[in-house]
Amino acid sequence: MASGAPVAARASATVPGMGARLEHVQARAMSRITGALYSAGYTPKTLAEAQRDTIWWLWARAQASANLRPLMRAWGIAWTSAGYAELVPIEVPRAGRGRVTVDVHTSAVSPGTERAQYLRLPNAQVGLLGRPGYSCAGIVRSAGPGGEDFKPGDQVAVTGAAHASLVTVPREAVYRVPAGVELDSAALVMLGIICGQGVRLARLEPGSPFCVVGAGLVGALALRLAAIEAVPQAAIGRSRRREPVARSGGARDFFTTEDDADAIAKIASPVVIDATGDPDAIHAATSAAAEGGRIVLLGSPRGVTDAFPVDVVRNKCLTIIGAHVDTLDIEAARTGVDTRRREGDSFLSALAKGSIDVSDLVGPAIDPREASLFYRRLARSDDLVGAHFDWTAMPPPMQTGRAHLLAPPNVTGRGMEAKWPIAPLQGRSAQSPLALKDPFSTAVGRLRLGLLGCGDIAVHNAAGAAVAPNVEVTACFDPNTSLAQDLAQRHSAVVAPSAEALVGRADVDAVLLAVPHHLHAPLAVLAAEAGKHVVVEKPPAHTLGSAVQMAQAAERAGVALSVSFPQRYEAAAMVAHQLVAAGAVGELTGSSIRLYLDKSPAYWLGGFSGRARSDWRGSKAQAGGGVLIMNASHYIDLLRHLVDVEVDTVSAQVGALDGDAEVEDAVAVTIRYRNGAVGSLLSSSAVRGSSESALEMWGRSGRLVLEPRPRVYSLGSVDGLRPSRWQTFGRLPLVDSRAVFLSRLASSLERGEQPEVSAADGLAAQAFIEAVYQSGETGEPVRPADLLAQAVSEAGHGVPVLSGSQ
Amino acid sequence: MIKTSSGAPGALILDHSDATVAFIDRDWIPAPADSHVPAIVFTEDGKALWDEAELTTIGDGLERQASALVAGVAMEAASVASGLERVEVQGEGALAGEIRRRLGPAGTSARADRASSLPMAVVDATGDPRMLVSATERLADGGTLVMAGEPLGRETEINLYKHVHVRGLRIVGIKRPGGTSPRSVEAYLPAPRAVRPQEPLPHAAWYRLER
Repeated sequence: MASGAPVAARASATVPGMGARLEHVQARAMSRITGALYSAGYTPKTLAEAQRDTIWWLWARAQASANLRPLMRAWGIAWTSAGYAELVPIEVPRAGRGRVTVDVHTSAVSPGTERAQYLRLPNAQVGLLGRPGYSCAGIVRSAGPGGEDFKPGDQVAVTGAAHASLVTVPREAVYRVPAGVELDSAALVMLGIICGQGVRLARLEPGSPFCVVGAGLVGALALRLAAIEAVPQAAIGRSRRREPVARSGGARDFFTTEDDADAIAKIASPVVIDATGDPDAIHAATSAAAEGGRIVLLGSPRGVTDAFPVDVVRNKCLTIIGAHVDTLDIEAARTGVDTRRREGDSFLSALAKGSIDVSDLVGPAIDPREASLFYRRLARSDDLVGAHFDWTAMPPPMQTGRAHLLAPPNVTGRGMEAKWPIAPLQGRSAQSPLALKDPFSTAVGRLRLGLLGCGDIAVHNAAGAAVAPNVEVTACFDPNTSLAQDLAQRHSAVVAPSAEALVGRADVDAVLLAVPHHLHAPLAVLAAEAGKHVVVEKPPAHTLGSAVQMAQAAERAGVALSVSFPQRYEAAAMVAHQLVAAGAVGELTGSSIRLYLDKSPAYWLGGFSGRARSDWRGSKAQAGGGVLIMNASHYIDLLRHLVDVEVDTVSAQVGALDGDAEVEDAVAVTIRYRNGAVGSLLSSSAVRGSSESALEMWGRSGRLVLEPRPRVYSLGSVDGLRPSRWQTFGRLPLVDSRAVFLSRLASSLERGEQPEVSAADGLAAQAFIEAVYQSGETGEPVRPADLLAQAVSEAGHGVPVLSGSQ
Repeated sequence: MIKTSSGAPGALILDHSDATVAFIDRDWIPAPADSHVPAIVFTEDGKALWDEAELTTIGDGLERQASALVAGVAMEAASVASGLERVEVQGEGALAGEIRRRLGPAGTSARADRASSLPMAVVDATGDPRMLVSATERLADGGTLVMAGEPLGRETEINLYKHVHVRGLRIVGIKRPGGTSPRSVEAYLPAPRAVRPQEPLPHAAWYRLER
């Protein structure tokens, strides 16, 4: 036993059973520590993050202390866990002795290597710090003693540095970029070294033929470097997708391993460069090689070769040469020659001279904030030849700053889970999607409202009109005169003697209907025919047919019809809309609405607030339905407003379980959207003790929860959001949503535009509701668009305004 | 042609109607019964075959001709490994012996025990693919593996990344002689042990199998 062996190990080796007992004690201790951490609120994910942050914290301080240099804050990409990549804050020491600090402009992605690391493929090594990338280019920020040959402002390429906005590296890893060479191209320097070494080991004779297996970035680059001296006889790929890249590098022929086995066997090339990383590509390489030929293993095989062709290698007298970049160090140790620098300078020189062109290999520029999305795409597709992270795309607040050496490590694991919300990166600046602009700042015009129906909801609408700077209530009517007088008195309006009289008044521009649902259609037609715009409290009507009738009447009269869906204008909903529009969620893949209420019989059969008796809510004929049309309709419109994808079909179960009314009090709906997304709606007004709602949506880039506790998780590059982190909306201002709705309506009418909540929007919600009821009756999926088309057809008139919505 | 016997363990069968004499290296004989065994075969009509490949031979005497053929392979293998520090030769047969002889002191080194003296070349005269993987594990980084044995169509599983790529190894295949351009090769192989079909094989570097 070596003297340096741990005491426990020595003890366990000498005392029988001691090893097992020690393991047991260790396991129990670990279990207790882990249990305590979980009790303290950690999860496996947050614990892993805390561990990682601690390692990085130590690493950064060790580097800074060793070089007596301060730390700077920057951003880097990390493998946060198996299959997850993320842009994370990092700390970088400023350049000390023999080191250079570089502001990175672009870092090259090595698709094969990084895809393998991301997918955790065999032989894909992930370093201790768990960060991808090894080749970049940028501008020197500072150089420590011994690195003064690099001056601030110099354009340089850097090897061995992970993807980050700022790197400090040994000067040996820094290469001066010749004038005229783009940084995007220079950022491929490490790949240039790798491929240059492979080409050198191939010992190509000038003018001699060679073949490259693999048409990815390494294959394409190796082909171009080899073609400076020799003749690219053929390139071999898995499919023809990358043939153009190989051809543009000069490959005379292009074959695929799937279809061209015979042709490959006839290549007979004296040199074959295997740049695939595919453990089975050795078969194509040995097949393509001439007798006595050399095969350079340039790509790192990601797995085990099941049947290495020993006979072929022997019978063809082949030489197989391992050409991993680390072998440069083996070679340097033996020869004393810095082959790495020689290859790097040679690559950059070839770029400067125009001997090779790699502009088509640098690939698309990726915003580093979208790293997670990018690696997901890369994992699914091997089409991508090259790509690079564009660090100049980071908004200024996310660029570098000073870090404190004495700052403690972040061991909270905060931010991975929603229960630890994090603050926005940079306050609520005007540019942030989280910023909520003054909803009345663009208000124009002056809309004079006549209220038809002065019950409880009319009180709320009138109050909203009073807050809106460009709306006023000028007249009221209700069959219950005391209700009309009450409202008129509150808002200095006049009481009209009848509905006809109200719609005929010159001081009324628009009529707001706040009446039982079955009265919406006749009163809307009355108002429209009197030339008044119509605003109807949701839902548009008690049936789809009535809603169509209203829309057609407005269309014929040339007036606007809008539906009051004020939840669109809640502060959180407006922020959510901005976030969705900015791409925080991406293409919709799912949605969920949950609404649990505990409505008493008084809601259905009595009054609402005691101002007047109203039992119409419990009547199917008058209300059109129960909790769905009465309560959940807000969410139906709100979700449609947010997702901007129409519903294709609904499948529903509908029930009236409490028996307080003839309308339903429970509904469960499965939604299929036209893009294939799937959603659900579950609502009941008979959930004892409940008044809670949930609305959320998710897409290819993220998830947005509007209720409860608005928050967002996005993989997209949305200014103001930190990608891959849950972020709450924080404290939002109180907004009178009905005031905003009416103010926006007034502005739209003043500008001669369609209302933001249009007749088409109302009809879409109504068609959805009707489809749910019909599916509940038949047990079959129902397409809302079919119902709407049928209703329009039965009404006998077209509804042109709807054409764009369905 | 030549097979290991299924009835008499360790014995050979000459299953070739025209063959008169066959020469077989000890390392070419696979363990399983009824397995194919590569051999240099001389037929009644004067042809020489190394397995299926017909050879043009030089000189008199079947033994001298067979020795020259084996020595030709040994010469090729030794030339790849010569000049490299610390060469290890795998095998106990005539081919392995001839390679060692040609490499001189470098080829006689035993398996190195210390990392600092890992062999820079391993010459495998067995052809056993399993030896290929173990040989790469013994080689120093940047070393060379010379495959001079008879693989007998056997394949092997190998992690090329771990065993070859990342360590910068070279694998060099040495072909058995064939065709019509033989070279006159000086050979110093020991005399083969004469055996008959179905006879138990005595310990020897190589064998002369006659009917």
